[in-house]
Amino acid sequence: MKKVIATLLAVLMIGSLVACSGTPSTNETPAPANETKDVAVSAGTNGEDVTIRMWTFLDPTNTSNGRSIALQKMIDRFESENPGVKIVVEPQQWDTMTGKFMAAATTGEAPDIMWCARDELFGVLNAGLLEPLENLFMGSWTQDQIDDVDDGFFRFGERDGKHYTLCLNKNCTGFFYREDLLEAAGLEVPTTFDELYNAAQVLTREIDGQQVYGLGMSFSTESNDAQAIVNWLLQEQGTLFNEDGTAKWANESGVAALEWIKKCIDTGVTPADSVNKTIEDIYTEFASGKYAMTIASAVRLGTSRANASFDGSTIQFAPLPGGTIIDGWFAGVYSGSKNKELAGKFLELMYDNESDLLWINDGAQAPNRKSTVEQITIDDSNKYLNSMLEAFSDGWLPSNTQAFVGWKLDLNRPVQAILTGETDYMKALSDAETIFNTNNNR
Amino acid sequence: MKRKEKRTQLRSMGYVAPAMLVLIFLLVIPLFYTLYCSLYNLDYLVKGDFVGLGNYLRLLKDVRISKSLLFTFEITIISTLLSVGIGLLLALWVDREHGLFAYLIEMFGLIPWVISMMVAALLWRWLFNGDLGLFNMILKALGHNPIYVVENKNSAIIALIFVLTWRLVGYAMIMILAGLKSLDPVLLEAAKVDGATPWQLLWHIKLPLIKTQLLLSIIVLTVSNFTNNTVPKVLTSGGPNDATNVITLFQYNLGFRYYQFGTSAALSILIMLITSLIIVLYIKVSNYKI
Amino acid sequence: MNKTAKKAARKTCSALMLVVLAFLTTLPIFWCIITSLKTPQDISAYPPKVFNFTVTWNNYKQVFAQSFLQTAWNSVVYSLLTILACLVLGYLAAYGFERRRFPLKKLLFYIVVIGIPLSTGSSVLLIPNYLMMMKLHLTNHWYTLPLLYTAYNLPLVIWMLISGVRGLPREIEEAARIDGCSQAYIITRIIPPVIRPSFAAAALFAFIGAWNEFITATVMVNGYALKNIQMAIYDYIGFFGQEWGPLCGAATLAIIPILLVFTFLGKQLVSGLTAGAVKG
Repeated sequence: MKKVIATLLAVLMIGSLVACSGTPSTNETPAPANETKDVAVSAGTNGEDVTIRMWTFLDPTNTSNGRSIALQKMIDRFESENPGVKIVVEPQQWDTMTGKFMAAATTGEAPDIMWCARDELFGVLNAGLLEPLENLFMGSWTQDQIDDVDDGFFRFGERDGKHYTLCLNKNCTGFFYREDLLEAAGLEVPTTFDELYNAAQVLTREIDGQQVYGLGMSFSTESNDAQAIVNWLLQEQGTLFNEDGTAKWANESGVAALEWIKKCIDTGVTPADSVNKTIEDIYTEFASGKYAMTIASAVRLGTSRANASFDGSTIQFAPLPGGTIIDGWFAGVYSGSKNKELAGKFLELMYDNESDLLWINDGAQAPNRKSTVEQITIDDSNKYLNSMLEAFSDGWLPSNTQAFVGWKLDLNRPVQAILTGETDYMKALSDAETIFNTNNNR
Repeated sequence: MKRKEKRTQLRSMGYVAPAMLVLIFLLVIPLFYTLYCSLYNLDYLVKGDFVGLGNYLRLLKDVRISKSLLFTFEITIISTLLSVGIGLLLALWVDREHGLFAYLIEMFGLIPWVISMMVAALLWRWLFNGDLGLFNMILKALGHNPIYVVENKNSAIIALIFVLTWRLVGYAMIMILAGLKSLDPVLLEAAKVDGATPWQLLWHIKLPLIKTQLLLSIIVLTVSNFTNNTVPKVLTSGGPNDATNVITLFQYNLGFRYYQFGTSAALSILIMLITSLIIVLYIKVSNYKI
Repeated sequence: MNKTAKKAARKTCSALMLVVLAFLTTLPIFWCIITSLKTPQDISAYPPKVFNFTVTWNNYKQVFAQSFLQTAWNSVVYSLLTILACLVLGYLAAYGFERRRFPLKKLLFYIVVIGIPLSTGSSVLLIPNYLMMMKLHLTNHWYTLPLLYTAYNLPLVIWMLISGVRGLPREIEEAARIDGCSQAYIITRIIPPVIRPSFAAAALFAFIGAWNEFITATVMVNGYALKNIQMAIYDYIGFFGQEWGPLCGAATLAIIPILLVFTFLGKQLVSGLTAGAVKG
């Protein structure tokens, strides 16, 4: 008896194992491009209810976030223009949602529209999870229309001559500065690392009993993009990687970058505790007035102004010296979607001129289209838009022909290593290279 | 007769069958599936080549993994012993008190366990902040220089141990208290009459009798601390310079940061093996009969 | 005289220790509550404001303006379903393990025991679970999370209820059987009232597990209709930053039900564990 049940149990286990074993290999789920086309369109026009699911980190029901408000307005417009079609946003955790999308796609449960993170886009495209936009709406675009959106972000979503994504929430890393403090000290906005250091030194002093530091930086390996070191490397070598995709960090440029960071810490223009700060700590502390300048993401300007314990309108944004890293959310249509046409239609709507103005006005974002730039007036309050546009036009993105994951966090490792004084500069950099190369199978 | 016994046994199995089906479906099968995944190259969840034990070899070769494992063991043992030690003291204290006062100790002791640990860790990180945190505000009021808790290697480790200990003190207390409450009062009274000092009473009578509760709380706490990645991730972000990089944080990052799901699965299996070993060891040591 | 002085000193000492304990254990909650009442400017103030800030209810207004109530209701339902399933399945299994003999008992028991880490928030099986649940189209349903939470908390519940049943003298069952009670009657009517404290303790453990769970929920369900309360809290740790005010507001609100449950059932927790501990 015992044996019988044991055997049964074993069979059950093996059976289930086999049943599940197909899962990871089902990346062929994506159906041929034109198969569902007609069905989707007719479903929409016949007045039957069609639901388009979208994954993003924005929650359109959040009425206190400008970007969410903008998104809700776009949904309302789309739904009134397309009766019978409903856009359902399923808000996700931003840091894990691209991975979850890849997992969901293995069983065909992925949403119709997905916002992919930059570094994961390679994996998404490699698995064939996105539909070429040329098959949906871009095929009928004129050259003028394409030129209007053509930039580094657009080309990042290109593979084999087809475009798979449109970039929303364009972003770049630079630094926030408190204009009033710079003016009071008679300083210009710094444009080189020397100027940045000198300005930071002048600005480091006590104001109303509070120690103010010149430059805020954060080096936590769980935090966002590596700071300063990437800009140094880009300034010196124009890229972060070798031709073969391996890291190109352990060299004189890398050492010079580390020395500059170390100098900032040693002379106290950046507090020593920055070594394990997350970028969120820095935003909180910047709002409290701890820093005169701080390395930050452009998209965070709005919230920083709102949260500041001092006059928030004095916060401005400028690109960092050296090269600027640009980033954004790459929205595309799931290739296994049953309603690709309609999903594409909504994606196109989120990117049209009218929506672009919503993203800018409600969401405090930079324009997605060149034609929109002419429609907005830039004054003192939103002159950060100029800096962002400048960064977007000559900013740096990794190549999209290979996987590059983890580098933005891995590059914080050498900084932490030298600040804790555990290794010398070159060793710290080559250790980080090893970690990056191993994790990207190089 | 034999037939009848078989039928009874099968019927007996019916009691555990529903629960076991749930556990086999959601615990055993995923475990085997993880094992299966760990034998493949599964970058970006796209099934690649069969690599056999390659993923495991890669993990075992990585010095950072062994360092991290060792560190995880260290903080697990320290914070577990601290939690159980303090929990024991609290339990003895509650056992002496009565009514509302005892109840208050219990309630306050349990609070850290019942609140969401991610919120708690997030708040502790803020409380420990060098300039904006309450901890340093108090230090300053006492005329002490601020301590940058999570930004300094040693203090980050101490902070991690502190929060892990803090979280489960109440759990240990309540488990041990249950043991103390179940002791036979007649026996304790007899020992007292025989002239046992409170210390002897504790050491020779109470502790041996609540051995099971002590061991149970040690095991649950050990496993819980060993597999906890929320607190290190939120409180110290694994830093500075990997100083607080626990093994489960490693496993999480292999999956969700580097998308190496095969290697991540291999590490999951290793972690499950270790925790299972700890538990089986407990069952053996405590002579638990089933 | 000496004795009363000593007693008074002891009392003061105990009271002091209680204050220290309360301070240490509730410090984060205290900070959470006062932060939830601050304006963004006061939250960022340097030095931190402990009492000298203007109270605002805006954070709570913002929390309620979103899907918070829906998620709170979801969490209540999830927790109740989890408790119910854990107790029914766990009790039957505990009875079987404790009172019956059957093939593979040891193996099955070890499966239970190895599952205990799941109840402590271990997420090592998250990805395989997700892939399997999706394959079977079990994600994104009202029962998705209760099912998983039941599986996660069941091992510990079984363990606790085994101790509960073990603490019950066999004579009670035998007496009932002699009185002509059926086995079903014994299991449903005779035993449960006696080991009620064990049920309460197990229920509390399952409740904590289900109420505070977060990582599984973010992966397994999408959309407001199915979100749980912890996800509503973490909505405020978004891509565009931590909104400390509403975050702390939502977290404070999420703690209240737990404190209520513990205030009313806390006594049962200790006696429940005690009952089970007699021969444990």
